[in-house]
Amino acid sequence: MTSKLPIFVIDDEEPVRAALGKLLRVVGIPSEMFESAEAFLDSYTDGRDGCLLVDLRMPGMSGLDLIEELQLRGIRLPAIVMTGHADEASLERMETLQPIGFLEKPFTLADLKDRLSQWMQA
Amino acid sequence: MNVDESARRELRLPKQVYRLRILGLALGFFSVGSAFSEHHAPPLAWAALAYHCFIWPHLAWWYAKRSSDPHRTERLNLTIDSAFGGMFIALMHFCLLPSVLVAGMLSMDKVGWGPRFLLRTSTAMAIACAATILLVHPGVEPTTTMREIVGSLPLMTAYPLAVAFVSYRSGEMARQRRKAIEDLASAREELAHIARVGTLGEMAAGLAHELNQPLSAIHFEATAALELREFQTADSLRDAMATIADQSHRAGEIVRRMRTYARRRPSHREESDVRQLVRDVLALLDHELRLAAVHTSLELDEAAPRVDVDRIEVQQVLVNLVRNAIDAMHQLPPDERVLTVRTAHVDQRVRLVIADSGPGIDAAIVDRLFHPFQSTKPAGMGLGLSICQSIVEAHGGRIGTLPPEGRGAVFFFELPGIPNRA
Repeated sequence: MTSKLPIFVIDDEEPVRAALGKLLRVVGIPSEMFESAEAFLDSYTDGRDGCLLVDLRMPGMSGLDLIEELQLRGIRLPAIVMTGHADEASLERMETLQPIGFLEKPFTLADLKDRLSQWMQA
Repeated sequence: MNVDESARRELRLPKQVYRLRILGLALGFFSVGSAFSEHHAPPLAWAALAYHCFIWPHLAWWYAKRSSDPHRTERLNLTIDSAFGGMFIALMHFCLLPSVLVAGMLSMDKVGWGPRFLLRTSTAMAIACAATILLVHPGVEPTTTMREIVGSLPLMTAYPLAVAFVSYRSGEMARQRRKAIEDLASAREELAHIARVGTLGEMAAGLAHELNQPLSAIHFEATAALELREFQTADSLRDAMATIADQSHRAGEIVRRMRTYARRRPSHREESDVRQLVRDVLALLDHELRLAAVHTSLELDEAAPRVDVDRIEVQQVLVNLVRNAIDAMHQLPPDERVLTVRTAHVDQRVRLVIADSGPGIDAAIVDRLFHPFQSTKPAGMGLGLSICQSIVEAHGGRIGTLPPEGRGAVFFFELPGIPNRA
């Protein structure tokens, strides 16, 4: 993990977000935390590179809504979708939106590093 | 009553009297017919008895008395005679009716009219009727009456037999109906249970998310702690954290497997490895197997072809058969509870065998095993195996039983394999 590109963690649940943030910090992956997709869009400035780690199910804009919105705006950010539960409809949508990774919570650090290294090699 | 045969013919009773008698007989037979209904039989039997004993003799008597022909006296006597004979026959019949009804009713638990009460009161009433007629209407000669009684013996024999048959049938039908009502009630309860489970399945999706969120937080916190330098040097703390990280991840896996299994979804087939399906199911049922102290013996055929199946549905069949096997062995001592899951292949067909060491399949139900609503379990609805059969057949396979090698029950199902693309 030599990359200094940040991971944008978007999860509506504070304990999960805090824990994930702590984990990433401890293992030396720079990260930024957002409690909603809207909050991320508000603060995102065009051209910033990084990787999204976004929860599928959130009140308001869902993780997939966010990826779609970014694609519409022409922002090409790699995204990893994480979820505690994926329904059929979301799985189908995911096939069209093509996030670089999909992680079912609770995932291990090894799983996450695996997805991230795929992104960095690409 | 010294009337010879030709005079008898001449002095035939008026048509109306015969019609009345036919009406009475019809009512009597109707009361017997209505014995099919346990609620209406007793009142109708009473009505018929009353008609034969009171109404018909009185009607006949009244009619003959007001007749004004020259043979009035003879006709009157004959009418009384006939009325008495008919009444006597009716009495015989209806004294017998309650007694044969008793036989039927003894098999019925719930009849508002107690059989003993019915028998006693109808006997008393019959005696009272006979006494009344004898006292009120004089000039009856018992000898002629006897002739009529003897003449009606075939009917008297046939009638109680018919009544006995009918009342036996009605008891039988009442029993069957009661059983059907009980079955219906338990089916309704079971259906309500299935509906609850169905709701739970729908809730499982949301629950899975809800549970996995805190589990994730625990897992990430523990993993983060493990990565801290402070933890690297403190063995006991690190072990504790590692356990928390492992176990929270495991809990998440359990939730995920349950949710996948309970998910309602359109059937879709994909190329699958039967061995993996077996492993998944045994993982899903791991806690049940451990709780029931069942030893599992797994014999997986490494060379079996892959299959094109709906994974969840085939898992459902396996879950059903394995859980049946667990249930079948619960009365054995724990060290004798052995579940064998075997996969094999014959040509291009993959065969899965699930064998237990329980008491085996009852020979009485072996033919109906896969019929719906066949259950040997106290709380079972008896749909499991019939659903399994429909799933397997929808996949172009077949399901059945095999003779056990030792004791126990052996179930198998076969699925068509995908031909090797050489």
